[in-house]
Order: sequence, then structure tokens, then C-alpha cells
Amino acid sequence: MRLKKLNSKDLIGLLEVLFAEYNLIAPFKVEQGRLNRVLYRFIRQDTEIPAIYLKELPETTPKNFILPRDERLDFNGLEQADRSDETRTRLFFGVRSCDLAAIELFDDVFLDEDYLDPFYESRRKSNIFIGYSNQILPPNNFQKELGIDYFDHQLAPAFLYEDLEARGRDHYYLKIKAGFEFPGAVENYLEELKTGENDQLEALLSDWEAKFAQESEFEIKSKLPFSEKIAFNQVDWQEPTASCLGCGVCTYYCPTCFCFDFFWDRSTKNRAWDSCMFSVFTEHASGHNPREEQHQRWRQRLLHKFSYHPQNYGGKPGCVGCGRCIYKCPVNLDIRKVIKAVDNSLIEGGAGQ
Amino acid sequence: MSNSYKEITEDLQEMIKLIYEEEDFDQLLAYSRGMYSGLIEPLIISRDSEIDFKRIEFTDKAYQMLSKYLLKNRELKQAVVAKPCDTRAIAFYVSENIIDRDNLIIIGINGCPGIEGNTACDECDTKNPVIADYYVGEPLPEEEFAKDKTDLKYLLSKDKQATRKTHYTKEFMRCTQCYACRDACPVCYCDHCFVESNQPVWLEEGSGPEEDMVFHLMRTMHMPGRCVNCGACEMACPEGIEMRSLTSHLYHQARKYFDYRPGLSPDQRSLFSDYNEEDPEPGFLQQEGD
Repeated sequence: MRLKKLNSKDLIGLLEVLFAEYNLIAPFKVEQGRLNRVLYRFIRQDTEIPAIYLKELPETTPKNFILPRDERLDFNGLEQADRSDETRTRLFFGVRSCDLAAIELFDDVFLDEDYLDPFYESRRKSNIFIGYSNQILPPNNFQKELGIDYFDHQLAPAFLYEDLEARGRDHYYLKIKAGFEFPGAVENYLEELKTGENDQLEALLSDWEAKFAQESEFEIKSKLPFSEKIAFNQVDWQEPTASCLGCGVCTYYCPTCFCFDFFWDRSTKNRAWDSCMFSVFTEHASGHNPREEQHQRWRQRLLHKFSYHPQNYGGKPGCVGCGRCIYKCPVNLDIRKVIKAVDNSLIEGGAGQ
Repeated sequence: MSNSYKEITEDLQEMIKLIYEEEDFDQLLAYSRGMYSGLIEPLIISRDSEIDFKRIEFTDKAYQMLSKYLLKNRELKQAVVAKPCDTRAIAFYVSENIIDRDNLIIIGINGCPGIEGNTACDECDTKNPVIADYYVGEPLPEEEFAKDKTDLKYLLSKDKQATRKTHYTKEFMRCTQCYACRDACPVCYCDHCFVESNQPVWLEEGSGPEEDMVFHLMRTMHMPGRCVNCGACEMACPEGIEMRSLTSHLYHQARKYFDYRPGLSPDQRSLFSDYNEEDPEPGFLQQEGD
């Protein structure tokens, strides 16, 4: 492992050399309507680099690039090796560990050798990620309860830590994992940078971790996967989900929701994101709908994430606790409230362990 | 002066406690703070469940339209905390005969101090409830708010057609077709919405600028004579799309030409069934900027 210490100027310099080597994608703050938002986008010119905005959790995630909202399923195009927009490796810069865990989850699903998704694979194969964290716990984040480390993830060969309180000094740490090497020009640039003290970083991260622990009071007592048998029938699904409007915003901004629908545009097959929160998601041609009520759709969404997904993927939850569904929800319906209702029922029913 | 959020909250807590003692009902709709998130959310609670009246709150973040939830359980007797715009939606429901007035206990908020970030509150013309059984807060004198506020930059009506088209094309490009605007809208309550219709198909699947435009314009066309100008659509939009300028424009046009505002009273006739020969025929797509 190598540890570098950087100031703002060093970081911009580093991004400039990265920009020369990779298709760089990073978060930016933009004003849209009444919202001030942080969104990922491609960087087209190196003059845009200083405007990269890392401090807050972006609303979008790499999902938008790896499993886009809609895409043409071009079976012929798959065989042509050079897809013009993806000739270079894409570098996602400033990705939070929860969002990296979400990509790992996608890989489990779409790169499963029995059900390999070639379209996902083609968008996924040449990406690398540089992780990011600072001392602000993103609002409504509960990733720790789902076993996701705040400050590291195996998908990121390098991780950047920003000490916001030490701004103006060398307030960035860049950790590069053992065995990983950037292209030559980037390595040359890294050579020039100061070396960081690992003890200092460790102390900083444990401070942050302690602070985060104080800020998040949410706790899941039951083990995953949640027992479907008990949860399906014995939980009062209606009460905690009564305010749901069924708009599906939670699933569209969720980094782990991957359900999609096929449709034809003349002779080409397409797919687009779909959402289990929509009333027509399970509607049959006959008009029968096995999930007629919104609380039944909520039951599906929650149990998919906390029962079915962990059942199929070695106990890993289908949720990374990023908190986006909570603050993007037009009525602020909190998934933690629903998890808690299930958790309590399981504990009472004796299936918590 | 509008009432303070604190006063309204305290009044509400006491009033609802009283209603629990004196009234018979099945379900309460109010606002409270999320247990973990601290964000204001609708509190929808059965009469039989335990309730802590101190949890009930009203703040500048209480933007959700509780009136919309009434429609989910029309068969129940429901007590509802209603902002003045909610009461207009409720009056509209009663006038359209889609909910039974006797099934409602309306707790109206007098002198509504408005919602943060909701542009509709800037042009609000109803700051006292139009229909209610109980009231909290002091009413505001009507002359303070009942003006016709059509002179708003926000509405773009003075801009040229080409400018407007560019503006809306750009705005709607962000649309993710979640239809949260429709879902949050208190007066969007068709059993079968055109967006989900497949016979005929109004909207193709997938995203595209045409689809985005078709959705927003069709929604707009369904709104004159219904939209109570509450701003719920925009508050719900996860992409911050300024779509309210369209519906609000039609709202003000209907007021200007036909002196019509929906949901002012439960026995009001609808804009389109209220035709008389004297009505002006301005052509409502015509705007000053053209």
C-alpha cells in the first residue's frame, strides 16, 4: 500500500494527468429548477476539473453509466470490439464506499456465469473507481448496519480521504492499494507527491468512524436474510407504508435497484428501468394483478432487498444503506421505518436469529 | 400576519386531542417528523393505534398534500389536517362527488404561513380554509391575499414562443417519467391515467424528448379547471422540473377570463360545465408573448 498526502493544487494536478489517460467521470454541483444537486458527469475538458464537487453525496451513482436508464440492446454491436464512446477505460472519481458496494452487487447479479448479461458486461469491463470519503456522514446513511465499511471497498484500487477541517493545508490522503499501478504518467506524478503517515490517517478515520456511530441511531437486530415466511404474512405492511404515492423515485435513485423492462422500438429491442413500486409492474394481460395494493409492492421491494437477495447471494443485502431513497422520496417515507417494523416482528416471532 | 408554525403546531396538538375525545372516526391524517430522518412526513394512523399528540407538527417543510391520501380510503371516516390549498382540493372532491363530505373531519389551517421552496405559495390566493370543521390559527383578512397575482416572471407568459419552447424542452429533458408530479397532485385521481394506457398508446416506453414533452403537455391540458395551484407537482419532482408554470398559467387564465377558480366551494360547478354564451373566447393557448 502507498499513501500520499495532497493539497488542493496537487489533487487538481493529479486529476489532470488522470484525465489524459482515462475517460473521467466525477460529481459536479448543478442548479436545476428549485434543486441544488450533485450529479456525476463526464469531464470533457481539463478546465472543468477544479469544479468537481466531492463534499456531499451525489444524487446519482455510477449505475447511470453502467446500467443506463434506457439502452438499445444491439446484439450485433456487441461483437464489434470498438464502441466509439468506450475506447478508453472510464475512471469514476469520488465514489462513496456504499456506491461501490452497489456495483459489487450488480456484478453478482449480471456477471453471474449462468446468467451473464453481455450488455452489462460490455459497459462494466473497462471501468476503474477511485473511492472518496470525508468526515460528513451523508444524510440518512445506514450502510454500517448493512456491514459496509465507510472508508474502503475492494472495487476501488485507490481511495481519497478529505479532511475538511484541515483545508488549506495538505488535507487529502490518497491510499493506493498494494499491487495496483496507474499508467506511467500518473505514476510519475504520484512519485512527486509527499508520502502520508499511515498512523495519522488511521487516527483520523477512527475519529470519523466514532463520530458517525454517534450520528446513526438506527439498528437492525435480525440477521439477514429476513425470514420470508414470517415477514411476508405477519408484518403489518400497511401501517408503515401508508404514505407511499407509488411514484418509484426510490427505485430510480437507488444504486442497487436493477429491474428493467423490455420494449420494442420498431425492429430494435430496448430495455429501460422499471420499478416494483409501479402499479402496472406485475399487472397481467388479463387485468389480474398479484400485487394490487401499494403495501404489497413495498413488501416486495423490502423483501427483495433483505430476504430474497441475501438468500441468493451469500447473505449480502440488496441495499447498501446510502439513504438516497429517503431524502429523494416526495413524502419522505423512510425505508428504515419499514425495516424496523419487519425487524420487530421477526424478533417477536423468534426468527430474529 | 400569518400564524407561526409553532402556534399552529400547538393548536393542532390540542385540537386533535379534542377531536379524539369528541369525534368518532377511523383514521387520522396529519404531519409528523420521521423517527430517524427528522424529515416531515405524512402521519397516517388508525384511530385504534396509540398516538402521541406531541408527535404532530406543522412546519415550513409540510409540503405533502394530505388531501390526496383521503382518496385512498374513501370508505373510511377520516380526520385530516388541511392547509388552505388542501381544503380547496377537498372542496373540489366534494363538488365532483368523489368523496362523501360526511366521511370527513377537516382540521383547516387558518392564515397559512406557506411552505419553504414552494413557488405556488408566492402566488397563493387562499390563505384560509375554504371548507373545514375545525380551525387552527387566526384567519388572515382576505384583502391581504385575495389579489389576482398573474404578473409573475415565473410564468414565462411574456416570453416568445421559441424561448418558451427551448426552456421547456430543456426542463423536461430531465424528466425520469416517474410521474411523481401526477402521484402527488391532489386533483389527479383518474382510475386509469393516460400514461399507463396501452389502448391507445399515448406515450411510448423509454425516454426521449418527445415523450417527455407529450407527457407534460398532456398533463397540463388536463389541469385547467382542476388545478388548485398548490405546487405539489413541483415539490414532488425529484429532478426539480419547473412544470408548475404551465398549470399555473392556465389557472390564472381561467381566473382572468371566466372568473373561475376550482375548489372554492363544495357546490361549485366545474369550469367546463359552467359554459354560458357571454363567455369570452380568448383561445387559451394564445399568450402575450406571441
